[in-house]
Amino acid sequence: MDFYLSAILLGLGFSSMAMGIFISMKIFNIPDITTDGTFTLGGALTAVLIMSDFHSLLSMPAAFLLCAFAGAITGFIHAKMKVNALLAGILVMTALYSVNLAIMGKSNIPLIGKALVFEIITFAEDGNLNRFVYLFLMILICAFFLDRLLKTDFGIAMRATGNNEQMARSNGINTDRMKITGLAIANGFTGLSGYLITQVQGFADINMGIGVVILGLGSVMMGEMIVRLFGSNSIIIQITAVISGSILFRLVLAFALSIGIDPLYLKLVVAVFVLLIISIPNLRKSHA
Amino acid sequence: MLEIRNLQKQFNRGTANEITAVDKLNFQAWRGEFIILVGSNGSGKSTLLNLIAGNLNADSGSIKLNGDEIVEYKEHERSRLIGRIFQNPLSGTSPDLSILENFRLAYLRDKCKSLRIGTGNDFREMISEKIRELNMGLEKKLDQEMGKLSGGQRQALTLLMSVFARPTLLLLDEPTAALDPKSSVQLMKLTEMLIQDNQITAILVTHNLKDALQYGNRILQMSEGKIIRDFDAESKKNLNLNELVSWF
Ligand SMILES: Nc1ncnc2c1ncn2[C@@H]1O[C@H](COP(=O)(O)OP(=O)(O)OP(=O)(O)O)[C@@H](O)[C@H]1O
Ligand SMILES: [Mg+2]
Repeated sequence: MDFYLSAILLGLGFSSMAMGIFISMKIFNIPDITTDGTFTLGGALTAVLIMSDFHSLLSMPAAFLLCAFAGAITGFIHAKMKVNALLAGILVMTALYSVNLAIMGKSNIPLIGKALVFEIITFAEDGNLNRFVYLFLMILICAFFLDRLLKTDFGIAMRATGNNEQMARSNGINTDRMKITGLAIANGFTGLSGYLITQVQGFADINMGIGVVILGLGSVMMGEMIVRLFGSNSIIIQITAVISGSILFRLVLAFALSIGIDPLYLKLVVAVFVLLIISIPNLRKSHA
Repeated sequence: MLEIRNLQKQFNRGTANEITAVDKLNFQAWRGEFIILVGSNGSGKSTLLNLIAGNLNADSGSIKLNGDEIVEYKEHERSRLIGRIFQNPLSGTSPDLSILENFRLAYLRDKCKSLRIGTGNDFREMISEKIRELNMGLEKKLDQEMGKLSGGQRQALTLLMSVFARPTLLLLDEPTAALDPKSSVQLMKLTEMLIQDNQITAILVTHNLKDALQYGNRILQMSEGKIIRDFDAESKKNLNLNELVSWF
C-alpha cells in the first residue's frame, strides 16, 4: 500500500510540471523540451537554498521565478529570433545542464538534517500521509491559480495566441510577447515541480530532469482521455484531468515495477506507454 | 483617411522567381468610403490588404492612416485601427474559445489584456444584445465554442467582432467566398449596414461582379500590382454588368 501511496505522492509532485506542459503543449502547441532542464533547475536551486539554511518556503518562489526566466529565454529564442520551438527548447535545456551543475557544485545534493516544506505544520502523524496533505493542498492552489489565470483577459489572449495566431494578432494581441510569457509561466510550474519532488525524494540530482517532458506529455494525453470520458471541455476539468493523468501515470509505473519489470527498462516502459496513449485514439479512428 | 504612396512589395527578391505583387501603388480613401476592389487572380489584391494590415512588410512606400505613418507598425499594433475579415471563415475567430471569449478579445482590441476576469454578466448582456441583431439565435449560445459553428455563422461573428472596437479601416478579402448564396447575401447586407452605421472606411475584395455593382460607393481594379481603374460613386452608378465584365 505504501508503495502505491509514494507513487501518488510522486504523481502529485509531478503534476505541477504536467500543468506546465499543459500550458506549452495544449495552449501554445509547443512541445517544450526546456522542461527537462527547468525541472532540474527548480530542484537544484531548492536543494542549494535549503542546505544553505534558507527557509524551505522561500525556495518556492525562487524556483518558480528562476525557471520562469529560463522559459522566457526559450520563448525569446523562438518568438523573436525565429528559431524552431523544439530547437529553442533543446538549446536552453542543454545550456541549463551546465547552469544546474554550477548551481549545485556537484552532481547530487542530499537534503540531510534540514527542515523541509512538509514540516511547517504537521497535518498527520504518518509521514507519507502528511506529505500527501501538503502536496494535495499545493497542487490544489496551483490548479486554482491556473484556472483563474486562463479565464482572465490575459489568459484568453494567451489561449487565442496558441489557438489562432492570425486571429490573435488581428485582435491587437502581441503574440510574440504572449508566447514568451506563456513559456515562462509553463516553466515556472515545472520549477515548482522540481521544488516539490526534490523534497519528496530527499535529494536533488543533476539527472533528475531527464525525460520528464515525456512524463508531462503522457500525463497531458492521459488527461485528454479522461476529459473525453467527462464530455466537458471546461478549463477546470482539463486541469483536473491533467493532475489525475500525472497520478495515474505514476501508478502505472509503480504497477510495472511491482510485477517485476527491471527498473533498468523503466524509461522504455514510459516511452511505449506514452506511445500507446497517444496512438489509441488514432487507432480507434482508423477502425471506425 | 487612408493614404498610400509608392507602396511596393516583391516576393522572392533577387531570384529567378522574383515577382512584383504590388507595384509602386498609390491611392487615397476617405472616411466612410466603401471601396470595392476587383482584379484577376494574382493581381495583388490580397497582398495589398496584407500590406495595409501589417501581415506582410512592405519593401518601400508609405501607408498613412488618419495622418499617422503606420508602415513601421507591427500587425498587432495596426489592428487597433484596422479590422479584418478573411476569405477563410476559420481565420477570423479562435475555434477553442467560446463566442463570448472571442468577443472579449474583440472588445479588448485596443485595450490592455489585464489579469481581471472580464466576461462577467455585464459584458455578457452587452454581447448578447449585439449578437441578437444578427437574428441567428447565437445570443443563446455565448458559451459555445466558436469551432462548433458553421462558416457563415463564424463569418458573421467575425464581422461583428471586427467593427466592435470601432476601427478606422475595415479590410474584407472575399468574405463570402466560402458561404452559400443565402448566407452571402446576409453577410453583404450586414457589412454594408455596419460600415454605414459606424462611418468606417472599408475595402472589399470580391470576384462576384454583381456584388461589386450592388455594394460600395467606389470601385477599383488592380492588375499586375497597380490600380488601373478607379470609379467614384457617380461613375460606379452608371456602370453595368456587361461593362464590368469587359474589364477582365
Ligand atoms: N507568400 C508569397 N510568396 C510568393 N509569392 C506570393 C506570395 N503571396 C502572393 N504571391 C504572389 O503575388 C502575386 C499576387 O498575389 P495575391 O494573392 O495578392 O493575388 P490576388 O489578387 O489576391 O489573387 P486572388 O484573386 O487569386 O486571391 C501572385 O502572383 C502570387 O503568386
Ligand atoms: Mg486573394
